[in-house]
Amino acid sequence: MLFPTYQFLVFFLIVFIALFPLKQKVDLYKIVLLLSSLLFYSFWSFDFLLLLVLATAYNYIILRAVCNGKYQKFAFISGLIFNIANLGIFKYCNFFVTSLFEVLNQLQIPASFQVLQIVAPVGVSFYTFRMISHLIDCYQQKIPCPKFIDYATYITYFPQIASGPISRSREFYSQLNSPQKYDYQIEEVIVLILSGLFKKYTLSSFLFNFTQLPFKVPQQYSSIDLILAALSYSCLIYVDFSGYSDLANGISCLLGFKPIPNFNMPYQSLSLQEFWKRWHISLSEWLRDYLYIPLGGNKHGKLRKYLNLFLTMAIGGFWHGAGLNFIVWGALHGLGLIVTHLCRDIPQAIHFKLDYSFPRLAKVMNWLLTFSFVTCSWVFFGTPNWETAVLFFQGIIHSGVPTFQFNFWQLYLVIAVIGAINFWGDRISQLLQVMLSLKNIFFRVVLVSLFVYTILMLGPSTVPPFIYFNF
Amino acid sequence: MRDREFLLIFTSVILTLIFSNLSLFLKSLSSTPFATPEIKQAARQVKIEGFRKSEQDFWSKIKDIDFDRIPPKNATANLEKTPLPPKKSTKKPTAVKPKLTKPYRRFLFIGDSVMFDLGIQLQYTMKETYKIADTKIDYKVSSGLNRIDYYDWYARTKEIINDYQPDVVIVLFGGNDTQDITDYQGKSRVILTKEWQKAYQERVEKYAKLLNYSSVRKVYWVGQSNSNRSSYIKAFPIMNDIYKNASKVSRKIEFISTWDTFAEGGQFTPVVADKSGKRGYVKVNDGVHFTSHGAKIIGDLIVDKMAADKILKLPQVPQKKP
Repeated sequence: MLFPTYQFLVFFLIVFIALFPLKQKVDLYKIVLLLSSLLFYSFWSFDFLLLLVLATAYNYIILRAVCNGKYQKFAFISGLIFNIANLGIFKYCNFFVTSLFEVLNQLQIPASFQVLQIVAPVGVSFYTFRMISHLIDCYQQKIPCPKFIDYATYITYFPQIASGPISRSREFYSQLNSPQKYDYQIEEVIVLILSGLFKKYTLSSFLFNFTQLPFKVPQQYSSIDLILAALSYSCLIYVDFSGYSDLANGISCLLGFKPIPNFNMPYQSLSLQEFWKRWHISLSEWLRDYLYIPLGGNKHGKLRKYLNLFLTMAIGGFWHGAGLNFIVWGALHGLGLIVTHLCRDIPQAIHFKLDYSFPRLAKVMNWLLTFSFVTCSWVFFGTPNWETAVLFFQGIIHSGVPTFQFNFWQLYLVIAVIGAINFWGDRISQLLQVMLSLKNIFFRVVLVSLFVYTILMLGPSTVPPFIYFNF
Repeated sequence: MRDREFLLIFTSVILTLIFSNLSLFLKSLSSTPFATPEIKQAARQVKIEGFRKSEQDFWSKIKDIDFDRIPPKNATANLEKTPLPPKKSTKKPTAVKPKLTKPYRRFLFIGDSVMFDLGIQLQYTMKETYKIADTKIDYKVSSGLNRIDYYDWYARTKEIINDYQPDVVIVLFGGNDTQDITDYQGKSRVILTKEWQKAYQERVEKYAKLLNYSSVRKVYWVGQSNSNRSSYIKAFPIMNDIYKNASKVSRKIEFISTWDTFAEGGQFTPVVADKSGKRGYVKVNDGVHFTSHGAKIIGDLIVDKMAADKILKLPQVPQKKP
């Protein structure tokens, strides 16, 4: 059940009506919220629901053992193995099978493996990450062992289960168990929902059509088309995923949870380091806290820091998808981050201070370099495999196709609008909130209806699924 | 208090939107599980116009771009050459003129997302081997001949044939047709029952007749290949029979069976070697879409068939003067 659908609209209306009178009655609220989340998840598939319930129950048993038992370390390791295996079977099994086949095929060793008919449960990557981080937090005694209902509500929480943001258990529990739920402003929620709908329904759906074919068959497009397609994909993945996060945050606010910042105008970053502080923030922080720091972080010298950075990003890339292209995407970002750190570390080591004669020009160059790098790396992310990504770059450098096919003013306009959202998104959001903070409810209804109607009219008849649902 | 206020705004906005454009609401509601057969029937009557119509036309424009179209001068490189003027001879020229075959210039690939994967491969092979660039894929995801209410392939095919004027059409349907069907009397028929087969056959025959009476000179109807999914293993042979029978309405239409291409001893085999001997997986996990390797094998099968029928001919390499 996708967010911008009638099914979800009806579901949410019922859930909201059932939940808001219960906000003060914490225990009852938790039960209804948990049941709603399970119901939401069951719309995808009962098999998926069963797996989720089993994984939650098993993880909770492990948590109890980690918090209370004698065999803490054993329980912790078995919990980690279970979660990694769970993710591995559903997401990576066929990747390893086909990779092994390719290797044997190259060695001319006859082999044939049946591709397993596995469909990865919706949100498996996201809820597994929550399970792992919870396990680590309990093992390190950062949080006490929660009640089962709290834990189950946290793991299955429906606005975030499919594609995040990845909330932290401590903050979640404190809000869940407090009768004073997050006191949202109506205009804040409306702007989040309108922003999510506009980004997903109008902008992302529009750009989807300009990226589908060039990312599958780049050899059929001219160089300029491929550059536009790469630019469109950069814009698409931003509006698609941040639109989803806006919707998830808007819904969370209504349920009494503080929104989790997940995107902060990432394409205005002046370095790759800054980009990862603005892009998919909840994942970046998760990777930092549960992968980079346990690997040693920056505590064991510069070389180790660079290696940890590289490994964190490469593993992060692989988390996004079972394919060589995702690993390459992650590794590229890892290398990029190493270069960024080197550019800072080397002048520091030799006590050299760079004095820009043209600071504005330097800023523009930094922005251009960062944005170009990020856009080029998305090519590996968006193409179905490594070979197609190579063809894509070959096409940009030299394409045999002379026809410029994507010369549409609508495309330029959409890219410009996304540029404006990226640079002045916070101001636009504030402006809208001021506009919507009218006291007269009639004008509010008229204004919101007008906005939603425009979004729906500008959107296509068929809305493509969220990109991050695949991960 | 704030929750109640939000709820009031929320419901008011929804009601305003529904009543401000009831037809659009009906149309979008019809694709949800809430829609009753009456709502679906009513939604079919709603014509898309205004902005929505322009928007659909815009997307069709993007989709209809002739990829990699080579300028007309080069495009003829692949075509059957008119015979070279006879060498000067002392003999008198005979009265009998050499028989000229009109070349096959344009190729159209029609179908669902499975055809998209196959079409890409066909375009590549035809360009690389036969230097043919005047090809077009007209596909619609999730479509077929079952749910004509969702996407009217009859109307679309007439339109695209008129616009593009293809010489050869390659058709592949069926991946999305394994579902209940509403027959021409408006009755819902359960999948694979005799009534379903009759209703589906009517749809397929109507489409075959449409192609038969069109300006197209040759049609290849590609059958579904073997699968790892039991539902497809059950349905595809029945559907293939229907396509095969429908192809018999005209000599213009020819059925290409691919059922055994991915099978050994009648059973689906996931790894198959292509013409060069390279082995690879042929279908993705859903049991219906091809991998690029699988599309290459089926594409080669079709291209070889067209070459055998002399529709495709290798370009003549200009001979060097001694």
